Amino acid sequence: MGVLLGKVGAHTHATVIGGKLRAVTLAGVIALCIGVTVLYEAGALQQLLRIETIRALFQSIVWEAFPFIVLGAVVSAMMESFIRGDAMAHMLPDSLGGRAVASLLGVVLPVCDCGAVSVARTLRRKGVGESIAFSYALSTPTLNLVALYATYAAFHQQWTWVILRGGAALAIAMVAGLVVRVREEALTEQWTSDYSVGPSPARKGWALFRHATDHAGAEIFAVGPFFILSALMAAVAQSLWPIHSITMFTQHSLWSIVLLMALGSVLSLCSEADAFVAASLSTLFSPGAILAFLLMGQMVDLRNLLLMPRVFSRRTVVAGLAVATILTFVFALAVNRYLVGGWV
Amino acid sequence: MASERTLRGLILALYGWALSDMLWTGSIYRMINAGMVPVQMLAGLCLLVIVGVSLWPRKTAPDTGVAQGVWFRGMLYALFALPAVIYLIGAYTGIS
Repeated sequence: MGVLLGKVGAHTHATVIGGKLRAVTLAGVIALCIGVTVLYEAGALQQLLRIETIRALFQSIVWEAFPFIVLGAVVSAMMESFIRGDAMAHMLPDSLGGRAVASLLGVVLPVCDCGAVSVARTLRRKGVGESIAFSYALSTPTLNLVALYATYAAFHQQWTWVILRGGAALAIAMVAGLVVRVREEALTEQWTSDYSVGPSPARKGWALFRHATDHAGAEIFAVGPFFILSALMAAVAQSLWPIHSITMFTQHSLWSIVLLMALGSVLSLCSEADAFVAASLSTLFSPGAILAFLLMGQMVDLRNLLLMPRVFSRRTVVAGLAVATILTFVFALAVNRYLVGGWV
Repeated sequence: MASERTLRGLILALYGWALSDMLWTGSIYRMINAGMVPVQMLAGLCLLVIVGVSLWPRKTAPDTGVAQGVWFRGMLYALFALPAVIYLIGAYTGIS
């Protein structure tokens, strides 16, 4: 009896403590909401956090990139529904040629950075190796028609920048893919359990079309939430980044490369917009730093940091993006050496 | 998990805020990027097709991970159909 009463007493005590904790937490949340509302009405919050700027940036990022999310989901759905399960694996074998084809696939598919993750997911489901799909996901944000044309237009129809950016992205994607291949994650049942493996004799005509649209919708819901989160983070980062820091390192070739790499990652600009921003900075920074901005902004950005773990293992993402970062820096130094005439 | 549902609810709220704010301020045509009109039109058409086909009455449940509840699914798809309509209207008025 004493033991039983002891247990009841302990449970009651825990319940009381839990109840008090919930009450305090609720009161704290209410107080926080009241405080935020008062500050917002007084105008202090806007000045402190630049709410209007964040709001405008957030909306522009979401609505400009949303079409590409949809197109990526559509391409992914078409590959899922109309391509045989083993066809993609044969087209993209685990070889140097297969990796090169995967890295250049973005040139022919009508998706850019926002839609590449959906396609990479489908490639994995179709039996493509993780490192091959990673090479595709890493290169497509840069090696797509939209980004290449934007680069050509932004730098006054100079093919040099298109070749530099495209060539460097291709090399980085292939090397990073080779590095992560060492311990890549094998295709497991998890990849095929949620979705069908492709065309089925039972699905024809309307049923097949409906399956494709269902898949496209599912892809939008799978990728969309993380994209919206990354858009908010990018908007906050863009509004809070101290502008004067951009001009602090213009005279230091080495640190300017590091600065623009960080800027590119944090700003997470869309692939059709970053070229124009880079072109506007080209009068202040070395060619190597500009190239680093163009590469990092599409490979190691907030968007990829949130979306890639949905497709690849954490080990692959960490190792692959680390290699991409190092190679970007190396390429930037090399460009300065051969175009400007000095390493630093 | 409850935490994942909370996160998804928060993200849905963010999306709804972006959409309602754009409509409230009346600047819906800011959504239209003059250089990307064809892409936005194509995406708008695709989105309307996806929404329409997904909401069409069906005999069996879909074998993908889409939410099953009809009303919830309808609300979600309506939220995504609205920008599609805006893309199409804005693109049409922009090129006419």
